Amino acid sequence: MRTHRAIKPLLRTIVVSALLITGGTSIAQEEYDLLRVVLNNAGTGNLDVVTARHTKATLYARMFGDFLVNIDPNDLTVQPGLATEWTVNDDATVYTFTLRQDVTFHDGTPFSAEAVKFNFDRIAEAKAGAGYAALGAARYADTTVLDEFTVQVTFHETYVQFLNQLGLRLWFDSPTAVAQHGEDYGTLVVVSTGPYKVVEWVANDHVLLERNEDYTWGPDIYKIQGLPYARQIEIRGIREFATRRAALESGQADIVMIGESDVAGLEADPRFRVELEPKAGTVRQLQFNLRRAPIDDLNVRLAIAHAIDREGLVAAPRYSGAANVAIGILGRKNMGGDFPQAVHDAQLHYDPERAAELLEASGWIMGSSGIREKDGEPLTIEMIFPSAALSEVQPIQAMLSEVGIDVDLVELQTQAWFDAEEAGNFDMTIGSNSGTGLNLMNRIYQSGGTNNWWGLSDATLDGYFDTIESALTAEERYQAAVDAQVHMLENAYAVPLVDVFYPFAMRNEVNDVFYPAFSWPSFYQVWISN
Amino acid sequence: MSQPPLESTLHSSAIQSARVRVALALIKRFLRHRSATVGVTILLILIILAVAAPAIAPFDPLKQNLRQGLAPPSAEHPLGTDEFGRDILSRILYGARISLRVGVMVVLLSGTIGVLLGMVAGYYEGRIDTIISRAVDILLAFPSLLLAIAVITILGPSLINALFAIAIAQVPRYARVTRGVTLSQKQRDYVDAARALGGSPPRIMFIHLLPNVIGPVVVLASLGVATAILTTASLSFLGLGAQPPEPEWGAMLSTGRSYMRQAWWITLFPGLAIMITVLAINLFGDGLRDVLDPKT
Repeated sequence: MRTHRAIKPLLRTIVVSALLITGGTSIAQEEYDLLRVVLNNAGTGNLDVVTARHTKATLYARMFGDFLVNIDPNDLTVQPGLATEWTVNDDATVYTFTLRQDVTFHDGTPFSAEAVKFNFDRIAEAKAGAGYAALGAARYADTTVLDEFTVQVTFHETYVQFLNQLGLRLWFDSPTAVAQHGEDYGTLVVVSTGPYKVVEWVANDHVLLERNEDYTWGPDIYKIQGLPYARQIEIRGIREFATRRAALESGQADIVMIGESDVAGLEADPRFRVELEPKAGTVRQLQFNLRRAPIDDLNVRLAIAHAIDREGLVAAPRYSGAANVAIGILGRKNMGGDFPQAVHDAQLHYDPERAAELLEASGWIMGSSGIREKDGEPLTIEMIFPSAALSEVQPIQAMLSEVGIDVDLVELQTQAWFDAEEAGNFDMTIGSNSGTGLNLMNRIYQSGGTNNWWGLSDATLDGYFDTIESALTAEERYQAAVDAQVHMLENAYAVPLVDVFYPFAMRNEVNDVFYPAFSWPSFYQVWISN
Repeated sequence: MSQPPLESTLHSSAIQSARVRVALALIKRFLRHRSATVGVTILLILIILAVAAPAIAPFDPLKQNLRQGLAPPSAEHPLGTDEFGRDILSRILYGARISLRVGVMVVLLSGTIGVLLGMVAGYYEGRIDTIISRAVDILLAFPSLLLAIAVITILGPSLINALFAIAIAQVPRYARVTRGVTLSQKQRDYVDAARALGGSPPRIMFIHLLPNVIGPVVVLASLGVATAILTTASLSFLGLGAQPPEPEWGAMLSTGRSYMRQAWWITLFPGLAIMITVLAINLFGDGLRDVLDPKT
């Protein structure tokens, strides 16, 4: 008994000391079975680099694929990836890459210069889509295999943004798998080079990733380069943010993309941690079908811009202050944190009286029903939107109603919304695009741009966009991006609304979620402290 | 102009007074039915509130005030505000107009069609009965909500289309009940007498049969209003009924569900409104059934 009494305090001291040192948790970075992630949606379409167009595809690609180069999120410098070295000629028309020699696709076939050529040529043949835009669209000339692990990409014109784009969304599909699976490739089968293999992909529902046991070529931008800790990652889409929060609180998820209105509540909960990552890309904005009346009237578009109380949108529960009023077309993250005065000056501020004047100048007179009319026709605008944007569009409908514009809301499923945009079946919509670089605007708003579904064709604007992609100095490119945004604001080609964050909440035990320059996170290096 | 014979006039006035006596007796029985009177009282209050909504609602139900979103119940907003800062009390008052109107419209539409089909099937029997009955069986095979969703998928989401969809889904109930009662009533002597006097089938159906068939239909209709209100709320909850910014109770529940954790009032009060209304109508319907059922 004596001995026991003597040992107990000693044991207690050792245990308490160990707990104090480790903060009460084990910090061993060990393998674990499953990481459960819940997003606002799981994405739609397919995961083929040629045809994938949903933004979530690029999130998954960071785990099932690799890029030739990577953008360091801290300083935006270009870092090695599947390419160990690269050279660019003086006018940025020829890029030569030296590839790693130890990389294999998930099907065991080697990654080589031939595979790079196969993928780039396949993307170029499609002549459409985000992959085509990233490859420089019509600028792309060809890819030449110099030897088994050296490849040269040539452009017809200067394309200075190529390295940025390579680090964003150009992953590599296995040529063997593409040939073998034909139409099924991208939907039933995805074979790439990344730390995880796609085991199951159910569009609009979930993706299940399983660790690639051969993976040893992780890029230096991550804390690890070899096998990931999680043997599997399940990423599920849940539309309602109350349900997503409930999934986290009930222990059914480890990491959750939450709604802005849940930020304060979860920050106050000691069990969880909230990480707000500014979204890279374009801001949430109103976009117009410029081919259709009455949207083709500049005064109508300017009136819409003046009718929107953007401070009100940010303050409302939808964003609960966890967002910023949008300044330009690009987000703060793409503009380096701040905008020059010229973009601030071009803002169309909330001014309903000015909106009314503009509409009256175009002959839209207030009718007895509170909706403006011209030649007996009401001022009605058809606004399409994806289901997830329902809480964003209702305030806009109410604000435009205040100045006599009737907004007919048409809610569509994500794929149907894409299709309606592409077919031009709308007057107005709401959206944003994810991506890095100043040239993100090009594919969306340049004449002939792959995602220019607005009928926008403006020579002045096209000139700015050309400069963004061809000027050899960063200063020139930045100024062109500023000028382009000022021009767009002055012509109300789009109306910036809100510059958002990606709000993620996670269990305190979750560590090292990685936020790339393109801000959808990567879960490759995530580990759990027990 | 010839006068009706005295005997005939005396006979019809006797029938009239007998009918009045029966009606009074039924009303007395109904008023003695405690739960039915509670239901009617609540229903009357709801109807008064709905009719007077423009006069008594403290705010415009569509007026947004984003900076006052999710404000809890207070003196200014007794039931709080929703995510867009709209006054929930005002929206519930205006929502009563929508719900009650939809309920009544659905019953009128589905009841009219259903009774007509049921009477034709029951009166003529044979091939016509077979066709109508099989069509009714097919419609009954679908859950009414699923059928309504299918109809809205074709017509497109809106309150009016939801109303039609729910009405179509409710038609079989009326048709089946009416057919059964018609089959039984047409065996009665008064129908044979009307036929012997040369009455045409439409006259026999609408002048003689209808008053004797309508009793069970009225009970069904009273309960059908509640079903229609619930189904409309369900469709609006799914985004297939009332569209923004209409203050429909189901739509209010739907938009509020994302904020249930922070703002209980945003879903509680529309939910209560639905529950109280449906309960009141069901109490009324149950009472009506008890009063009209000769067995009770």
